[in-house]
Amino acid sequence: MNLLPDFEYRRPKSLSGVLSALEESQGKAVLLAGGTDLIPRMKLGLEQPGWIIDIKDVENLRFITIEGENLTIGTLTSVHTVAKNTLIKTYFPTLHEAAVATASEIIQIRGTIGGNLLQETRCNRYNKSETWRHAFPPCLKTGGKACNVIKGARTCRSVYCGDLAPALLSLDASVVVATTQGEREIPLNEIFTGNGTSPFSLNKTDLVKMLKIPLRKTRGRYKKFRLRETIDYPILGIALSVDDAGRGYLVLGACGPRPLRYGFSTPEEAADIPRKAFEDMKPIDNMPLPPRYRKHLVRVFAERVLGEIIF
Amino acid sequence: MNMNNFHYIRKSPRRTDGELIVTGRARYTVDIDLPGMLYAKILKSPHAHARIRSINTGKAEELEGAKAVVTGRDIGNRRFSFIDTPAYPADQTPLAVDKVRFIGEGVAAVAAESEKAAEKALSLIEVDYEELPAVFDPEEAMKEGAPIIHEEITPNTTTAWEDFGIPRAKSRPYKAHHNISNRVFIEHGDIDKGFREADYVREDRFVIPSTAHAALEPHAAVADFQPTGKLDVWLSHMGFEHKRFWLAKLLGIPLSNVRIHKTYVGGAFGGKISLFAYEFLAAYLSMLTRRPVKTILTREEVFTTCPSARRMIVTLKTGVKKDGKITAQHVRIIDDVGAYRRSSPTALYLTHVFRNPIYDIPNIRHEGYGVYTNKIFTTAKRGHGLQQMIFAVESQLDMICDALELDRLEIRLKNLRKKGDVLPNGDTLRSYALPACLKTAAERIDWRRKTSHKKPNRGLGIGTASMFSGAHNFPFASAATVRLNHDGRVILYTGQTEFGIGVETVMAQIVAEVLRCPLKDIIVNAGDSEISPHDIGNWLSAGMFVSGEAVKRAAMDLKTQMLRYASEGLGIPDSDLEFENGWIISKSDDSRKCSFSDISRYGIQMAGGDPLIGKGFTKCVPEVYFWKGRYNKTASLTSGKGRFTEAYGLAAAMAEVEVDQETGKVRVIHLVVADDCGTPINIKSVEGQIVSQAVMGIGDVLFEEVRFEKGAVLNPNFLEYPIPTASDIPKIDSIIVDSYEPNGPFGAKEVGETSRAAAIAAVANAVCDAVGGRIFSLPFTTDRIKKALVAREKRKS
Repeated sequence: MNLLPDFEYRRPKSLSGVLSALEESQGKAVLLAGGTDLIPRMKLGLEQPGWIIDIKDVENLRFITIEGENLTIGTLTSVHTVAKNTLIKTYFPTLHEAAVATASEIIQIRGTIGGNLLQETRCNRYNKSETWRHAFPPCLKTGGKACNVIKGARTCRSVYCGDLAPALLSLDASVVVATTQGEREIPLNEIFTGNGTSPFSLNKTDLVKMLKIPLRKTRGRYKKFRLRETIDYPILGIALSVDDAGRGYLVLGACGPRPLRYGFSTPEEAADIPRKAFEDMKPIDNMPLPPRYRKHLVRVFAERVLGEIIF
Repeated sequence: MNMNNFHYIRKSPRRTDGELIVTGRARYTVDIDLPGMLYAKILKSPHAHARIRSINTGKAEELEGAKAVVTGRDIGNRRFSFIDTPAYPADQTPLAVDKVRFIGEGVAAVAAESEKAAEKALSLIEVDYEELPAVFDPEEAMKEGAPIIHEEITPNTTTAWEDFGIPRAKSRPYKAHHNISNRVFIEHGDIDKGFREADYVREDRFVIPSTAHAALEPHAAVADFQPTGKLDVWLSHMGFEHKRFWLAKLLGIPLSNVRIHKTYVGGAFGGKISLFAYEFLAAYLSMLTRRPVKTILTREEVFTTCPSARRMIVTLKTGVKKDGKITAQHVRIIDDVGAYRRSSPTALYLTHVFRNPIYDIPNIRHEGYGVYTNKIFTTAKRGHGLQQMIFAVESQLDMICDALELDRLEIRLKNLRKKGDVLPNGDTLRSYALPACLKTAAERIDWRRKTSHKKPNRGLGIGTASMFSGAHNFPFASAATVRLNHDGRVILYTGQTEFGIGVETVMAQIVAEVLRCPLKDIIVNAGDSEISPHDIGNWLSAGMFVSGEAVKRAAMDLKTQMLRYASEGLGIPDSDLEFENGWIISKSDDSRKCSFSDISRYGIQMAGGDPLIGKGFTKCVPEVYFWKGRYNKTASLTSGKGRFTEAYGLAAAMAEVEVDQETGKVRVIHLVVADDCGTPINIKSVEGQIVSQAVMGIGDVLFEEVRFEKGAVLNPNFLEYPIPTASDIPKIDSIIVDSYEPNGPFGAKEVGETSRAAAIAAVANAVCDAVGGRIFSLPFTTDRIKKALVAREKRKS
């Protein structure tokens, strides 16, 4: 059995309780919601937090409501609730499809939208037990000096495998972050660093409180290529959303440390995206299928999704 | 025999232990908790090949809660293996003694008050390694100058085969030249003449990787060494005789001092017959500490320290006449055994004998080499060599059809053997419905219409397979006893092990059928080495054919005794009595009868206290024996001579698939498997066996490979090692082709291992048909399929 390390456990009931506990921990705390990303990481020894702040009991973080010109989704809303929401299905079909395609139903019920968004990047040399990793030198993501996949690589290319983020990016969503100093809104696209070592630009004391999506009807699709028809992380995820004016975004997921986003406002611009995406995608051999093939998939699926929704 | 006349077999009664399992009350090894129990953990090597200079256990021993720390040098060269013969002595030790040969090999073990303390103790052990050059590719390992993985292997005082009384020769040290661990050379006919007679000859090379057994229950052991010298153990296994033999041998205690208790087992698939190092270590640590010791492996440990299936490179040269009749086949196999030999000598022999009943090939040469590499060692998995061989043979047969423009179904039908054929080793095909399997499967999938009107992106494929029903392998035979109770119910004692197959239900059905009493009146007591009679175990595909026959004979013995007492007690000649629904009734006057309970009372009161116990036994291959220098038709693993089995199960599969021409993604549309298993004792159980093999076969073709990176298993978990999920399983038709095997219990024979290989070949050939090109390595991952699609387009232009 993989055992959990010892840690201090807090379970505040209010948002302010969480924020002050985060401050009190002095950067030693991690937040626990559904735990579907965190607990396996802890069991593998990839995360050894001094504190766990369990936010499951915090009030008013589970909602899907219209606020002014936005749809807002509370961070503790389960992926399953997102998948079942009819407003989301009608207005943001891409997000609906991405939620349905996430892991399996059981994990969707457990996992939250906030946790799904902030899941750690993955690599087949990294997501292993401490014992397994002893056979190799520490990598860039575990504090070492070299990558165990690419000789001489300077940055970590572990892969961001979230399904929801590409969909939310295609809808130009933003996140509302709470700290003891107050709240701030950040475009979702800006929370990704592109560096697999620390893939998010958020501070240790930040709590993503909710998501905001501009409320306008879109057409769209989320295409997920995975080995099996359920459970698996994406080998490639492609999200496309387009509004009535023909403006939209195509977003690649599982392509590197961050999703890649391409905006367009005309069909001609959209038509050029598969070529650009193919050129931009720089996969390395750290996932189930080889990089060249994954690169090939980008063009196939970008063309397919554009063909189905736009052309 | 009228097959519609059965009352309790050829039916699908509910499993007798179903409630126990689905309510979570069935006891598995992980459920065993004993007072004062310690927890064991094993420290593993991070190096693929290294000399152990020293191990410092001082700090670990001082840790509070740590009760025992042992290293390979403490335990010494107690060698064990699946095969332990004078020619091929066991090469493995429970912990590495002088050097480690793969990443994950155990170097030290700890027993502590808690799992956490055991883990902490492991982290305090300091091992000083001298790294050595490692070799991972078997063909590299065979080259001059490759790193030498094994120095000369000195056998134990006696090898297991000597203990069993098998060999004619004395054991001798083994020196692995060019890292070759073992060889096989089997020849029938005149291979050169066969190729001269051929109109068309081709040679191809196929690569089959290791796949995992993926049993859902984690491997676990609990050992409790008693002050009396007795060792109680609970294990996750497939038959207790091997486990108890090796535990006793390595611990130096009498065999009957080891008691393997009955446990339920959460899947085995061929991977749990041999002794595991962790099982020995739990027992050894219990002996040292005089306390019960439990160890549970993590999923990663199962993948990295317990063997997966055999990795083989098969080079196949085949000659055929213009009409498709095969004249000669030359097989060369390299079995990448990994760090230890285990069952390789058996597997290389089986690659020949398993497929031998399918096609009548007059001239065959079959040569194979087991080769050591610095990777986790390998073992049997459901089919043990068959699926590797079948993938190669059936793939190539399709290529021959393409080249000669022959029909893929016809070429197979043309080359099949016939019922009654005697194989070169002397085995007789007394039941043989493979032609019927092929024809039935073809009808069900609509082969002729679909192959003549091919839809775009679609493909169809065929596979065939055959499998033994037990072989003359330790423990060679099975016995069973049945006991009549005062209340008229019957207890069956059998050594069969329940690991998901429903064996207790089918054995109860056999007893009920013989005694014609309700199934609920049969109580099964199975799988306990101290209570159960001698038993072959649930491997070698022998469970039904061998143990089922022993159970049937035991029930018949009891029936004869009961009939005699009924005749005496009722004053009716036994020819006028019949068994019906728990009663023994006069055929001429059905008011004259007695119950089973009456018979029990009669035995006690009127027949000197006779409790009525029936005994039955049988051997895997009755003709074969050895006894103090006398041998009869014993099989040779290296030359293929000698009798192998009494009955062969057979199967044919056909698949239809669709392939996405841009991504290479496969959708299996329909899979049909027709299995000649003789009489199905329990129809649902048999169908379950067939379907589970079909699903396994889909995984083999589309997903599964234990991958390595510098000797480390790269995908040691169920996220990175994908097996088919419910969402990936297509429509599967399992068809039972009942051939009636005259030597099996009520006509039954093997069903647990054949279909997988047939399904693999069918799905693989269907994919290649849809692609329009051949893929030579399993699994057919989407990138490999895409490559084949690109190659096809290049050929076209």
